[in-house]
Amino acid sequence: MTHVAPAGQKPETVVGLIKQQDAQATAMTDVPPDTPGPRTQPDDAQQDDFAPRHYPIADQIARQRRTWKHERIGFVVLLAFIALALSGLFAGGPLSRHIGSSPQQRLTVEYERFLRNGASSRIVLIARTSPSARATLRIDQAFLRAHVVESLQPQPLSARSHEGGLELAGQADERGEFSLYLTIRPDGIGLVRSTAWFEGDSVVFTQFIYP
Amino acid sequence: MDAVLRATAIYLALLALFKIAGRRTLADISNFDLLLLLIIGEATQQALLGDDFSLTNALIVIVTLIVIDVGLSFVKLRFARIDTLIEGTSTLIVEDGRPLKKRLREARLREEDILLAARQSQGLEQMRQIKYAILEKNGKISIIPYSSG
Repeated sequence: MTHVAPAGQKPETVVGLIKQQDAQATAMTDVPPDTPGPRTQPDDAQQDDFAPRHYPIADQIARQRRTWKHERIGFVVLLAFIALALSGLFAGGPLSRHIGSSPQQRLTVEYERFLRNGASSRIVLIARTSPSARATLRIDQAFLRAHVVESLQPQPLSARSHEGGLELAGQADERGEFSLYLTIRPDGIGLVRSTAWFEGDSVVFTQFIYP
Repeated sequence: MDAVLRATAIYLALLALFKIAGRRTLADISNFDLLLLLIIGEATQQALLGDDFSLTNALIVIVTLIVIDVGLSFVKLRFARIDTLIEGTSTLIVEDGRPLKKRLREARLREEDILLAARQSQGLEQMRQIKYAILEKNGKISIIPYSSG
C-alpha cells in the first residue's frame, strides 16, 4: 500500500492517515477475510482420525501408528534397561556383587559377577588358617588371561608362576586371616570361569565381561 | 577389527535409541537439547575410540561410520519399506481446520505445537485458518493455510 501525500499537505497529516489505515488493517486481521465459516459436517471417513488420508499427502497412517507403538514399547524397554543397570546387571550393583566360599569356608572370594571391558574392578581373596601362619594362594590361568592385574595388596612374600597361573604367598594375621586385594582390568569379552585355591580348598567363580 | 565393530555397534545403538526417542524430540532444538546432544557425543566418544587414540584408529572409526551411513542411504533408496521403517512417514494432523486429536495424542503432540508452527511459519493465529498441517518425516510441522481470496 502506498501513501501519496497531496501536494502541500503537512507531514503530521500523512502520519495520521497512515495510523488510521494501520488501525483499519489491525481491525481486519482480527477477523481474517479468509476465515472459513462453519464447514460442512465431515463424513464418517473424515470423522475417524485414523482413516487414511490421500490429500494433500498420501499418508501411511497404519504404518505410522505401528511406529508410534514401537516408540512406546521402546520407551518401556529403556525403562527396564535403566532398572537393570541400577540393579547391577551391567556391573556395580547388588546383582553383580557376589561372595563365593569353599565348602569349609577356608577360602572366600569377593568378586563382581558382571564386569565391563576396560573398567577396573576388585577381587578380594580371604584365606583362613592358623594365626600368623604362612598362606599360599593360587589363581588359575583363565583368570590371568582374561584380566590385567593392576595392583596386588599386600605385596606377597613370594610370587611365582604355577601351571600358567599365579602362586602367591603371604602371612596370616593374629586371627589367622590372610586377605589379598587385587585390582583388575578386564581385557577379554564373555564368560570367564576362574578358580582360586588355598591348600586343598578351591572356589570357582564365573564372571561375565561386557564389551 | 575392534574399531570397526565398535563403530558399527555404536551406530546401530544410536539409530535404535533415536528411533525410540521419536522424531519430535530433535525437531526443535532448545538450548538444553543441544547440551544433551553434546553430552551424548562425549559419552559416545570414549566407547568409539576405547583407549586407542591413534590417528589410524580415528580414521577407521570415521570411515566405518561414513560407509554405514552412505550404505544405509543406498538401502533406503532401494527398499521403500526400510526407508519408512527408519525415517517414518509424513502424517496429516490437521484437516480443514480440524485437528486430528487421536493422531496428535499418539504422536505426542499438542494443538499448541501446531499453533506455534502456524505462527512461526505462516503468521496464522487460529486453528481454523489452517487448511492442512502435516507432521513431516524430519519432525517439523508444515502448515498449509487456506488460500486468501
